This record gives sequence, C-alpha cells and structure tokens, in this order.
Amino acid sequence: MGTQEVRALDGITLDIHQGEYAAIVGPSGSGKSTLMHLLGCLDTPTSGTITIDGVDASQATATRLSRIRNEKIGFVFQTFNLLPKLNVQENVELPLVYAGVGSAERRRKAQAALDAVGLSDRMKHRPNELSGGQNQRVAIARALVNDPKLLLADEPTGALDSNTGEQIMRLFRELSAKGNTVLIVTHDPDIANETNRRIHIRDGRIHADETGPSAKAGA
Amino acid sequence: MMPLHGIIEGIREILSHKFRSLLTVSGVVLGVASLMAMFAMIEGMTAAMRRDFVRFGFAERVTVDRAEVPPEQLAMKDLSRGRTYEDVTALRDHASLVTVVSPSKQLNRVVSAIHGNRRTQIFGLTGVEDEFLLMDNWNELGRGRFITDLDLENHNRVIVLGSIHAGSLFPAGDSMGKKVRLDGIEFTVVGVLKKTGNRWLDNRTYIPLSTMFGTFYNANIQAGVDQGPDVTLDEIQVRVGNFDNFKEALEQIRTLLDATHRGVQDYGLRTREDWFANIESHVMGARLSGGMIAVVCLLAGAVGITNIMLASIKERTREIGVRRAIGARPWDIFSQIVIEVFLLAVLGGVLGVAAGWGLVEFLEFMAGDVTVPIIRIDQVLISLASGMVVGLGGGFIPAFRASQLEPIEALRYE
Repeated sequence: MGTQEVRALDGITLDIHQGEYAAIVGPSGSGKSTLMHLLGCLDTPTSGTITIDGVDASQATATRLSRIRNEKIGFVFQTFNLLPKLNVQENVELPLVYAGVGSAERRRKAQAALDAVGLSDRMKHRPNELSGGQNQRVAIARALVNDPKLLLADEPTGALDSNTGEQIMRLFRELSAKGNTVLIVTHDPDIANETNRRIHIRDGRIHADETGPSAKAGA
Repeated sequence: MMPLHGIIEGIREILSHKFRSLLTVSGVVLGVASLMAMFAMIEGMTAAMRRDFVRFGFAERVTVDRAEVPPEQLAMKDLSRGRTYEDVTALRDHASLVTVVSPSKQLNRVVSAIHGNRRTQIFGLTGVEDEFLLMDNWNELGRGRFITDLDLENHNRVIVLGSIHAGSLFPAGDSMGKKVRLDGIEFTVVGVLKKTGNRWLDNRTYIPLSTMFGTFYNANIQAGVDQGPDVTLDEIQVRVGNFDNFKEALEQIRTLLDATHRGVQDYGLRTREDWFANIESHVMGARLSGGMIAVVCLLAGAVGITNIMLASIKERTREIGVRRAIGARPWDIFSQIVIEVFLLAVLGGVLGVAAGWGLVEFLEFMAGDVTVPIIRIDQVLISLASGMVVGLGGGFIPAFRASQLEPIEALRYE
C-alpha cells in the first residue's frame, strides 16, 4: 500500500431535513457509497461531524453506532439482504429483537410494517418463495419496523426489472408522503428524478444540489 | 439480543446443518466418552483392588519376597541359599508374634492331568502346606478335604483341584478318591475347591509341598549338570497375630531371616503399606495415562469446533453484516455464536456420555468379572462439564472474530 492519502469524500456539508424525499446521485467511484455509509452510521468520518436526530455519531464506538442504526436508520439494500433461514415475519422482526422488544410487540409491529408494504399475507413464507419485488418490499418493511428517522436505500431497484422497480419507487413515494424521511442512493438519474431533491456527488464533492420536482420527470 | 432468541436461532442453525454439526462435535463426543470410560475403568480397578485387599486379609499379612542383592553384598551372595524351608522352620519355631507361616512352591511349567480318556492342562500346580488354607481367604473347599500334615509327612500323592479342572476331568462330579495322572504320576483327588467365578482362582491346583519337592524338584539340571534338589521356595506368606504388634513382628521376622540368610539381603518383606502404595501407584498411573488421552481428545475436539466454526462464520459473513447493519451490536453477534457453540458442546457432551456409557458396557462385557468398570454420576458430570468447557473454549475465537467484523466489509462479502 502506498502512503498517499486518498480522500473518498472531502468538504461535504449536507443537511437532510425530516420528511424529505431525496436522492444521492453519482457515478461509481464518486464517493456516494462512502457518503451513504457515513449517513447510515456504518462508518465514522476521519474528521468532521455527523449528527442524526440531534445525536453526534462522528466518534461513536461500534456498540453505540449499532444502537443508532437500530433506533434511527432503516436500510434497504440493492440485493435485499434478507436472511434466507428466517421467514418474512422473522426477518421483519429482527431489528426489534436487537432493540430488545418483547415478542407480542414485535409481532404487532411486524404486522403493521408488512401491512404498509402490502405483504401481510406472506408472513410465514421464506424469502426464496417470493419474487424479487416482494423480497424488496419485505426488506422495506424491515427497514420501517423501528420507525426510523431515516430510511436509507442503496440502489433499491438495481436488482429488479423496470416494472417492479417502478412499483418500489411508488412505494417510497407513498412512504415519503406519510412523513418518512427517505434517502435513495443511486447512479441512475431516472430513479433520482423521482425524488424531490437530488444531491449530485462527483469526485468526493457535492457537485450540485437541486430541489423541487425534476424537469425531466415532467411532474 | 435476548438469550431465548439466541437459543432458538442456535438450535435452528445446528438443525439446518445436521451432519456438519455432528462433525463439529465429534471430537468433543470422543473426548467425553473416553474421559468417562477412563473414569469408570479406574473406578472399577480401584474398587476391585480394595475389595481384594479386605477379602484376602492383606492387612496382617507379610510376604517374604525375593530381592536383588545390593551391590556391596554381591561377593557374598552365595552364602545364602535364598528362601528355603529353613526360613519357614525358623519363623515357626522362633517368631512369637507370627501365627501362620505358609510356604509354597509352584511348578513353572504346564503338566497334563489325565483321568481315563479325559485330559486337562494344568499351569501353576502349587505345592503348599496345610496352613495355606488359613492364609488365603479365597480358597474355600467345595468338597473333600485340603492337604493335611499327614500328607506332608508321608509325601502323599494327593491333589486338591480347582473347580475348572475338576469339571473338565470329572464332568459327573464324582472326583473324590479318583486317580489323576500328572505327567504319568498317579495322584488321588482328595478335595475340590469351591467355584469363585474368577477364572484365575478356579484354575488353581494344589499338592503337598513335600510331594512337590520330592516329585518335581528332585533334580535341578542346569547346563546339563544336576545341581542337586532345588529347595528354594517361591513364596513364604506370614500372618501376624496382632496387628498392633505389626512393627515388632516385622523386626522379629527380619532378625530371623537375617540369620538364616547369613546377612545377605536377598529377600524383602512386602507389607500392607506396600500393597497400598502399589494400588495407589497403579491408580495414579492409570489416571494419568487415561487422563492424557482424554485431554488430547478434548483438545482435538476444541480445535475441531474452532476450525469448523471459523469456516461457518466465513460462510455467514454477509448475514453477520446484515445483522450488524440493522442494529446488532458486536456483543449480540458474539453471544449468538457462543450460544450456538454452547448448544453444540451440550449436544457433543450428551452424545459423548451416551457413547461413553456404551463403551463402558462393552468394556464390562470384555472384562468378565476381573475388573468391572463402575460409572459414578459425579464423574459423568465432570466428563460432561469438561466437554462443554472445551467446546465453549473452541468457540471463543470464532465468536470474537465474528463480532469484530466490520459491517461494511461484511456486507460486501460475496
């Protein structure tokens, strides 16, 4: 390894407000994944501060970061990342297990979250018995189950066909309309254009930050 | 994460790879089984020795053994003829604290005993005196009589058979007064010993000591030259009258034997203390070697668990990443793996106890009645517990590694 310092992100100042529906857009290698990891409290910055819901996450320990992720952030991944050995209900309940919620309460909340994504009739199915779009809905239910301050989706339509992808994007818009803060990370301008704010990242810096419906979206 | 949830997840994980789980714990199974079998065998051995000790009256008994002449006495070694009948007479006449003196001489080859067309091989034909019956508590007469002083005086060719030889020569049980030919020499059966169930004891056969010397040891041919009659005894057993005077009795015996042996220390006195020490050293030796084997098995078991769990965790890297992303703390991951390994160790321990029990049953079957292994519940629990401790120890490193995975790296893992 060389000794030359590589800055994945540099001089970023960004505020995401409660209830916003935003996208971080940029080509691969732009630093958007690093930004997402920092916003998702999966990583801590070398310098600078990250504040989530009034809590400073910049220098937190691994255990503290886990707590913050558990309480304030809901992750949606490109490849769903459901646990294949658990059924739908158990997958959705898992964040609550780590939060120490009792089983009756877990069941109730999982039911509600699955209702929100329209899959409450699939509770006992295993992930491999469902379609890709259904899996992603389960993953979204899992992300929602803790009432997170921030729903963070990393290329949520990347593994889906365009039809299913559109359905998922519609679901995000609905969730946003219900008051959830939704942040989508994508390299795809079409996906980004569905949101209300687009933060363009290039070479580790914010290149552009446009608010309002996209002109291209024709809304 | 709540412990109950961890246990449920652990059981699921184990059940989802049944064969691999069995392989993982096989070392623990073997370790626990061998530990248990070892415990049971040693317990059986010790119990058998203790039982014999009491039963055979070793406490008041002293055995005059042969001993290596010390180096400084080598030049005068020939002054002593070894343990002979002279010792017996001296002890009987002058050792006031001694009540019984029982000499014996064994024939150190096999003789065939023939009656009619029946034949049996006798190994360890022993010449004894009438007092032998007072000395050895395990010899009980079943029928007839034992050797008497009249037999000894007249060098009578009479024989007392153990139950096995009596059975093979006289299946109808009509042995009393019948003739048996030992190497062509006719002996009259005067007694049969009671069956003990111990093969070794039931094979014993006795004739008068004087007859033994006169018939089988009247020549001592070495290198083609007859050295004259062999008069050395194999064993002199002495019983001390009162155990409180044991030390003084030993002193008496030593004084007398020093005289008959002309000061040559070619004999030794084996006493209860020696027997005890002998038993203890046997038990210690067995424990040590058995324990070592079991420990090695258990260590191999721990390494096996570590190895397979490391592989299993590697396989589950992504799952661990997902769990961390949705809020599992490092401790949650650690405890999840530890609980899983603990369950595996319990499984291994239980299977090990079952296997050990089977092994003990098998050993019991093989051992016959000499040393029956004994299972003690506390030792079973110790075996089980050590299996679990070892299993947990083996799971510690994988669990720690899993807990230290970086969520980002783990999520990227394909």
